Amino acid sequence: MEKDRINGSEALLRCLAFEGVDTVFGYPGGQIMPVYDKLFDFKDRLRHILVRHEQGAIHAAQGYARATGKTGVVLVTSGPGATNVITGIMDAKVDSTPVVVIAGQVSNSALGTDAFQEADLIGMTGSITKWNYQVRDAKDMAWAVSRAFFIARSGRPGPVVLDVTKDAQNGMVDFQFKECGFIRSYIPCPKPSDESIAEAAMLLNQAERPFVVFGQGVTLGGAEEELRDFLHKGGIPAGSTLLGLSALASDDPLFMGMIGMHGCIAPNIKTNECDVLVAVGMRFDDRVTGTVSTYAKQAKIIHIDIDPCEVGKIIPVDVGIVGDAKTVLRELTGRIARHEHKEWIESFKACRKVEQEKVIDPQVHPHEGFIKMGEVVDAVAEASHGKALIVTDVGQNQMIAARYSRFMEGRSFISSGGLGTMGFGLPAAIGAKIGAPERRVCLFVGDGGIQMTIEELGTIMQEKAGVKIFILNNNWLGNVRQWQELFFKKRYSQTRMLNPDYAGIASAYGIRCSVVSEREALAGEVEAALSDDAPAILDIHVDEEDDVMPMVAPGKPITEIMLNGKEMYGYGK
Amino acid sequence: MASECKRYSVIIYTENQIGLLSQFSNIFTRRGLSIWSLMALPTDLQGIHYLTIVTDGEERSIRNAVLHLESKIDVVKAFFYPGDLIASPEESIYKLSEEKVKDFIRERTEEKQNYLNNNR
Repeated sequence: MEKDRINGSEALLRCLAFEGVDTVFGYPGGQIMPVYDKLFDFKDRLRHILVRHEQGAIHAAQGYARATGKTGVVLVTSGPGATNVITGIMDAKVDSTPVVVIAGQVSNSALGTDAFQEADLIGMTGSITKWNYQVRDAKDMAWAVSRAFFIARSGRPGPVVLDVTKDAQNGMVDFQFKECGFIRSYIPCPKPSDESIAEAAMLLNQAERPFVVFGQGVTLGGAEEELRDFLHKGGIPAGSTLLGLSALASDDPLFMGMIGMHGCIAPNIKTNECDVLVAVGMRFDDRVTGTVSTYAKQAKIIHIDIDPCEVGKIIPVDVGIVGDAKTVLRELTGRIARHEHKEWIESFKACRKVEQEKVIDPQVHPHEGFIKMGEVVDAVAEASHGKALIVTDVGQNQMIAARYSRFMEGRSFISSGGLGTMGFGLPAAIGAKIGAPERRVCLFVGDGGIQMTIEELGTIMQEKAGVKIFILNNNWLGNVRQWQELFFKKRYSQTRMLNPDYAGIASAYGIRCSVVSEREALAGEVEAALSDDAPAILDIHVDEEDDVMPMVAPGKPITEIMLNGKEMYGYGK
Repeated sequence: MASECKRYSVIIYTENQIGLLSQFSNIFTRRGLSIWSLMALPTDLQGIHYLTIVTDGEERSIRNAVLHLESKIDVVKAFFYPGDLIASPEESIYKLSEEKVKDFIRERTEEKQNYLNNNR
């Protein structure tokens, strides 16, 4: 039909609409202008969020994807526009976030000539995408876009890059959309084998001290309920990875806290005491395991993951189950006997008691001295009744937020885990708020991290995104300073920061900001910040040389836990 | 304990997409595995190619590299064998014109005769 003869740019936008996309994060530029021109006609269907830097676009899309479970979409130009999103693409790859990046590219005839703003995006992103493809002809547009979305969101999600040349944007095509649901070389969701599930159930039924560690795979698979049923039927205590947080409610009696370098003492110690360790949707990152050679050696290991590559990659397994968390947990729950394991669960309390006295109380309930970071996180948890969507940057703010936030709902914790990207927090929080406007989005960020993407305050201003920003301001690059203190003889090389007047900056962007330096004012200011849906910043001056504890030093066994700079957890004495 | 460095052959069945070869080689480079030889051939399945990559390394690295290769969307299957000698039985029938065969035999005979004359 005549009216369906359209150009590649319009075909691209129609495909997005077919894929259910309603929000795009982007920044225009020379080689993507035909798409931006057509976007003008799609204003009623596609909301475009104009960021202030392309890195902001990709992190916002990641925050959006992780808050909603939908695929984040990024639209940028070629060359610098495309290279500016690379950090975020890599971040999305390691943290399994569904994102589709659409980048402009020079015309077909100029490819490979070092043309103005030409970058070899396909070459550059091969190892950090789930799939990438250069669209050189408008005829391929519908095929490429539908395939991109199918790949990005199916199975273990990940980022996909479409590099769209000028010819593909301008060329005419008889448009027809066909949804992609099958690729012959790709099995997104392998069916778990019956034998492996039976074997796992047998191990669990014989176990006296079973323990579960779960990761983001539970959230990505929508298996929160299945996890809870599984744990409660089997009477199995569980620890969470950083990205697994909020998949199980913080007040669940079987939730023993976060595992890993800055995790809780109990789940780390018990990892090396359990007789069966079940890993669900997690990948045994080195921040979780400490030294691999001493990790859970005594235990039979059952590893459940949708990605066959992850099973046995780091930790040799006794039973590997390849499949999505929801299906596997449901099957497994059906086959395990009801247990309580009272004594085993009770044994976690001794570790908890030590942590409460030595670490948590001084961090969350101090009576004198400067404001502690933990107090701030606790005040936000208190004021939001654990229902806020917590976004963090990277560093001490991240670990403290992970440790002391409370989660009563799923999809409530967004953080850059695998890549540890400073500057992630602010744009991710914007994306999360735009994706989930009904939720209270609270960002914890350091004085270092916020300055990496501080330009996105402009996006907050323009979009009126009601993000609540808590700057844990200690005038240091805190996490690096902590490592310098502990492992480099307090030689504080390049970690002291002279900070700008954040209230002044906030005021220039028309965002309200309060400076908090007194403990007495903290709870009131937090309440006030959360009282409405407008953006707000609290610049909180916290204890400058405070450390995140407990801590397992890098390259140490997960059971060698520092309680502070001097004391180790005296397990076994 | 570091395991021994040995020679392995990695076999990949893959869709023939632009840029895949560099992605494959990156998977080896990233793990410090050098590629000794590489061969690519089409298969009977339309669009599917067959690659043999011979490399030296520890079994654990090779195994991870192969899992990584398999995780690529366009890769149908990847696996590895110890050693670089893979026997794959093949038969082929060539149809040649009689003239060509005669020419070929004459050339070879002349070559052989020349060689013998020169080295006598």
